[in-house]
Amino acid sequence: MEGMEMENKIKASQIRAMQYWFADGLVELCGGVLCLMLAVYFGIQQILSSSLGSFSLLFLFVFVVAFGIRKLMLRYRQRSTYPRTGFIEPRKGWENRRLLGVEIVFTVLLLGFMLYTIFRGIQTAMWTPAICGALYAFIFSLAGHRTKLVRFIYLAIYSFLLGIILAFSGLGDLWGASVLSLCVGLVLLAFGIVTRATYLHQSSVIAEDADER
Amino acid sequence: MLMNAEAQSTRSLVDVDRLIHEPSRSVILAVLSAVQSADFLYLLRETGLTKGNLTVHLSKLEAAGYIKIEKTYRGKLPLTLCSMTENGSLAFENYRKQLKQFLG
Repeated sequence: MEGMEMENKIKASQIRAMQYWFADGLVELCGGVLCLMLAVYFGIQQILSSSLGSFSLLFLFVFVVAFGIRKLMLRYRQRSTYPRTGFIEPRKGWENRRLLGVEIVFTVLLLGFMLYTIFRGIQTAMWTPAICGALYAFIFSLAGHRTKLVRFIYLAIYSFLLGIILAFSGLGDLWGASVLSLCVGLVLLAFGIVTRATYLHQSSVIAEDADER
Repeated sequence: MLMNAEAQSTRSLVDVDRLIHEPSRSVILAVLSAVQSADFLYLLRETGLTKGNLTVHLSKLEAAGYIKIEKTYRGKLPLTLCSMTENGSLAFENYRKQLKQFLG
């Protein structure tokens, strides 16, 4: 029985360590903001119906802002989370070869699907919300698989189904993607706020003393 | 035949690495096996040990060459970073194999 208890303890500690990146709710909050930005981006594209050049330029802008949000989050985490509950440097995603394999297969399948629809003359645009939903679902299910956090699995199912519903709703490609990003962003923000509040309630500031060793 | 299998699984537990087969130290190694590195504060909260006890356990693991301890600073605050070594990783993997063998 002692061995079984030990094995369970080891597994629980490993899972908690892998979940730590999401424990303070900051990732969800930043993800939510990013999704809202994407919603605005798709909305602007639909309203302006602009050229490919400005489309790419705007996308680059969103990308740069996403990078900035991540930097800000890491800086804030350094001041807020690490002094409370400690610091963990997670393993790099590409170190897990199986996960990398799944990512490559998914990207190839998605690109294959898009090329197939283009060459066969099928309107890919109609499928934009579904493709976006599948992308969101893939990202969330990867996070859920790695961290064993059920809320990401629910989010994956939610975004996948919503993407398909929006694709058939007749809203159009960019409006559909915009509404999808808005809905996913709002849910992510809600998850983030609840997680953050729980985390702050449960943790207290304990600064590491200079003479701990 | 059954006796043989039973004897083998019991033997696997007898041969188990005693340094790792201690609840606090196995938790420390479990955490470090799942991440690149973790600091003293995280390990303190995860193990529920006192600072003194955790220091003793970390020192034992470091002396065995299972973990690497690096003392650095985050701003003006001292930061003690622990990470698993190649040796530690192998030993922990082996320990878990033995444990699973015993559990059947």
